[in-house]
Parts: sequence; structure tokens; C-alpha cells
Amino acid sequence: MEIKNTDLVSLFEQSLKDVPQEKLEEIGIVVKVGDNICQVHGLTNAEYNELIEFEGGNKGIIFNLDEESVDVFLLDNNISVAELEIAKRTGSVLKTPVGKNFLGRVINALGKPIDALGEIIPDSYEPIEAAVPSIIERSPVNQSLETGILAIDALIPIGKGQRELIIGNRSTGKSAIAIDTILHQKNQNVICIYVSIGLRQANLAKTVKLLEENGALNYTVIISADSGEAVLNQYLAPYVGCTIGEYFMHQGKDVLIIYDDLSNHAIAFREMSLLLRRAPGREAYPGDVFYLHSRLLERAGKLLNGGSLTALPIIQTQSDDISAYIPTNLISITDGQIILDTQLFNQGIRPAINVELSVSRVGGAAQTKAIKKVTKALRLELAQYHELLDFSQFGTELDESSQKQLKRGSFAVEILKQPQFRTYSFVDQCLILFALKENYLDNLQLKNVQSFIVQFTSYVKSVYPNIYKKIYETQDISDDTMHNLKEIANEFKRIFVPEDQI
Amino acid sequence: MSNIDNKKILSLKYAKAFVNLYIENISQESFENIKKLENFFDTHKKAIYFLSVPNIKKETKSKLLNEIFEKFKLSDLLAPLVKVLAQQKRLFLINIILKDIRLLYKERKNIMTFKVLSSHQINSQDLDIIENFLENKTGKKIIYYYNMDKSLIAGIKLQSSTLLWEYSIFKQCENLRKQFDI
Repeated sequence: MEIKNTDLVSLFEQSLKDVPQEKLEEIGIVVKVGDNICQVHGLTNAEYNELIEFEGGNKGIIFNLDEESVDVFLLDNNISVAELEIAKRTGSVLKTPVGKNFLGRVINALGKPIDALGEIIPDSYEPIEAAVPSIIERSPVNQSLETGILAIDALIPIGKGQRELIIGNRSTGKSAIAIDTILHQKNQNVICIYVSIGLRQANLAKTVKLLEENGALNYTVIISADSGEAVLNQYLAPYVGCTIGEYFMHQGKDVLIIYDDLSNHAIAFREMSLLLRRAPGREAYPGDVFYLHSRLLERAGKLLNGGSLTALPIIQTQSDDISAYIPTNLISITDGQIILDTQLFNQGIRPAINVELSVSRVGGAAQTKAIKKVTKALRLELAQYHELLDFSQFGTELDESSQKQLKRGSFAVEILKQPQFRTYSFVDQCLILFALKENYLDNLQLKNVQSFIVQFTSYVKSVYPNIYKKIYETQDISDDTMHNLKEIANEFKRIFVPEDQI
Repeated sequence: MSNIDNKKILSLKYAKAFVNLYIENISQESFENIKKLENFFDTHKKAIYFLSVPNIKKETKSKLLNEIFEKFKLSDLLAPLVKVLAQQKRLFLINIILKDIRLLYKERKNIMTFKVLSSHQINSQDLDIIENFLENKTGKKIIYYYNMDKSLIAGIKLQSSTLLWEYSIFKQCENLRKQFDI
């Protein structure tokens, strides 16, 4: 059937008669574009952080409100924005899609999938800047979040809802600790969110593959804003990750979120601020760089409804300088820090955690009774060992008790060494620390300590599963269990054969 | 502060002073002519360059400006402004001052200018309806410039520097394109 042009027009005129009195849209005209930022004249009633839509399809967020114009940061650097293009208000802030379908997926800072596994159907859309839970809604941090890393769980315990900073120079194993922690959450009912900010795509691909191979991707959401993406995306990625985490937290689930790393986030924000011609302050960061991270990390916590959001932000230092601007900010915001030491890393002590400087402000409240019982004197012992070690390097002759202390200290350092991707359950950790505390390692050679603890834990697990199960269920070591463990340890010591003699 | 910002601030001061004194002398016709004059300066950048050259006498510059203003029937209205600017050697600000005068005039007289675009010719009755519609919506006096725009396919578009109302096939196609993320 042929439709004439005039028919179409009359049809349209007919429909125009029934046009609802639509609202006048508020618009602005692009007057300047450059460096992924554009100045828009008009938009007189626009609000700070409001999402703006451009006629050409791009979107942006308002970061500056001036008398006659607004500055908008563009979300996509692949869609061009031309001078005199129309920009429209949307009346809402940027919202990110959230939902359970995001588990096992890799998305960008706008919530779009980048893993070629198809569209994700979200449960809802949430604003990326949300109010932090109030004091009344929060519950104290009193439940342990196992990392599976002995040095952390024994000495710097992390609780559900805590914010623990991982800080260190480049290539000291910061991300490795975070990845190990994710891997350890398998079957622990903890949802993990890994936010990669300004990292190389190759690194992220490696991490995704690793999580997939270890069956950890099913309970993990990965948000990526790599170094090649628009600076705004790098700025947004942690907030998007946090919003997805909050979605699960409000459903009563435990969530672990890793920000890898916030140094790049601060750098992205600095770049944006300088482009917006905001006054630079210390290290050229803007005045509100503290607020940038404090408002993000304040969203972590444990709620009364049972849900929790545990944050592990990562910060990279230059030449072990933890007194730089961003590291000191983050140290003061978080509830403790795990400091990684280049020197320890080069000595082969991995994870290279400096246990003297690292701290968890939540402390024992986040530890199980069982772990508490067997770690009481460990920190002190390690401190004395390091002091004596410095002293012994002067060639001084040491008395017998000092030599004994040195030996015990070296055993303690040895058991805290842990290869990557091998995590211990809290019962394994109890058994290892028990062996150290009750001096079962004393007559061993240092090189045999690792094989002893591995074999001992597996011996208890396979030969005395009831003891193992009892500790697991009660999360405590009763006097009876302690007595039984001593007998088992004596029995095992008699049959232990070092690996090199097998 | 950049040189451009300084120019803007200075120009706004002159424009405010002019509007304070002569707002009642600005008629609808002269308002339209100021717009035409603005376009003239936008397309003849050399004229502004000529006004900024320091070794050309201010009398010569004033004479040139007066001749231009004569063409746009604005010489009487803008003569005092040219005199002050010539005295203070700031004639090169004239194009920015004119823009500010127009904006301030619109603001003080509660006027809003709209571009009315339609895919097909609209008769004067319909244009009156549109004017009323916009006046009701904005609460301001409307000055509109009507043009035909075939790219709308069918429909109408009303646009000012801060507001937009569009009901056209083109917009619906665009919405569909966005929906399907093409």
C-alpha cells in the first residue's frame, strides 16, 4: 500500500492535537570542549553531580556550577561532543545497575559488561553516591572475616565491616593479598567485589582468569576502569563497586570489597580537579581529596540487619614513604593498615607484612576465641626477635636464653611465610600456632618447619577429624581439646619425616 | 585570572551602566538591530581587530563605528557608549558589550527569545498559539524567530538558550535509536 507524504503529515497533525502538555526540557549549549570536559552555557537550574545528556549520545556529570555555565565531565571519550550541541538535564544523579546477575561478571564503571558474556539484567538502579548508614543502623565489628593468611588472621585480624588498608611499594604483593583473600571466601557466604582502578588490562585479564580457575568468580563482581579509560570512569569505579556492594549488604549478606588501588583514584581526581581549574593544594591534590576517600570508606560497616561491607583499600607508596599525603589520609580514615615491606619481600618473607608497623584497630573483637588462645604472645615474641636480631648483627656473643629466643623468633617468622594461593582455614591456623606456642617446632631444622606444619594440619584433619570438627564448630579450644592436641602433636612428632628424607 | 575573563568582567560593567541609563530608549526594533549588529561583528572579526590597533586614532575608530551603527539604525542609541569607550580606549570591547546589553535587556524586560522550527509551514494563527503556549510555560514575554527545518521530518521544535520543547518524528527516531543502543 502506498502512503502519501500528505497522509503522513495529516496523521501526524492529528496526533499532535492529542499531545500531552509536555514539560519544557531544560537545556544548555556547549560552548567549549576539550580534555574530556566541556563547558555548557545555560542549564541554570542544574544541580551538582547531575547527569547530563548530550544530543549526540554522550553523557556527562556536572562538576562545577558557575553563574552562567556549568562544567561537565564526559563519560565516554569515544562519542564526540561538538560546540553548540544541546545538553539536556536528566534531573537525576548517575545511577548504576545492581543485582545478583552481576556475580561472576566483569563490568566497566558504568555497569556495562565487558566480558563478552552478554547483557546483564539488573534488579534495580541505585545512585552511586548514597548516604552512609547512621550510627543507629550500625552494629559493632565483632565477627571475624578470615583472609586465610596466617600473619593477618593471627596478628592483624580483620572483622566483617572493617576498613583495613593494604599499603606498600610497587611489587610487594598488595594485590596478591587481596586476591588470596577473595580465593579464601569460597563456601564462606561472602560476596566479593574487586574494583580495578587505573591498572593495565593485561593484569586484570590475569586476575579474572585466576579467579575463574579457582572457582572464585561465581561469588565475585569485577569492576574495571583501566588506565586507558576516561578519567571520569576511574573516578567513578570505586563508587559503582561500593553501590553494588551495598545492594548485597542491605539484603543481609556479607560483602568484601577491594579497591585496587586508591592511589590511582586520587591521581584521577587530581587530574579532574586541575582540568576544572580548582586550586591545587599539597602534592597538587585538591582540598577535598580527603573527603573523596572518607565518604567512600564510610559506606563500609556492619549493619544491625546482619549485612556487612568490609573494605580493603590498597595504596601504593613511593620508596616506602607512608607519610605522603594520600597514604596518611587513608591511614587516618581506615581502621588499621597492613604494611608491606620491600626489604622483607626481597628477603623472601612472603607475604612481606611488617607485623611491627601493621595494626588492626578492631583487634581481638574480630578474632575467634580459638585463635586468641594460641596467639597471645606471638606479637611480643616477634618484636623481641627483631630487636635481638638487630643486636646480634653486631657480632655480640649471646647468652643461651637469647639464642633460644632468636631460634623461636625465626620459627615464628617461618610459619608466617605462606605461598601465594595457599590459604589456611582458621582451624589450620589454630593448629599451626598451637605447634609454635607449645614448642613442638623447637627441635626441628628451620627448613623443615613449613613441611611440619603442613603435614601436622593435614594429619589432624584426616586422622582426628572429630577434634578438627570440634574446633571448627565451637570456634574455641577447650582444655580437653588442648590436652588431646598435645597428645596428637607428640604422636605426630614421632612419625614426622621431613620432606627431603622421604 | 585570564585576559578573556578580565575582558568579560569589564564589558559587563559597561553593559550594566548602559542598560541602567538607556533601557527605556531600547525599542523592539533596536533590540533586533543589536542582534544583527552582533552577527555583523561575529562575521567581520577584522573590524574588532581594527578597533584594537593602538596607533589608529580614536577619532578614526569612532567614525568607523558610527558609520556601522548608522547602517543598523543604532547610531543615536549607542553614540554615548561609543564616546565613553573611545575616551577610555576600550572600543575593542564593543562586540562583547553588545552581547551583554542584549542579555541584560532581556533579563530586565522579562523577555525570552525562542527559535521556532517546524517541518512544514505554520500559519500566523498557529504561531500565536505557540507564543501563548511559551508565555504560559515560561511566564515571560516571548520573542520568536521562525524557520522551517525539514530534518524534523514532521513536527515542531521550540528552543531557547535554556529551554527545549520538541515533538517530532526525528526526536522519536532518536529515542528509538537510543533505546536500541544503535
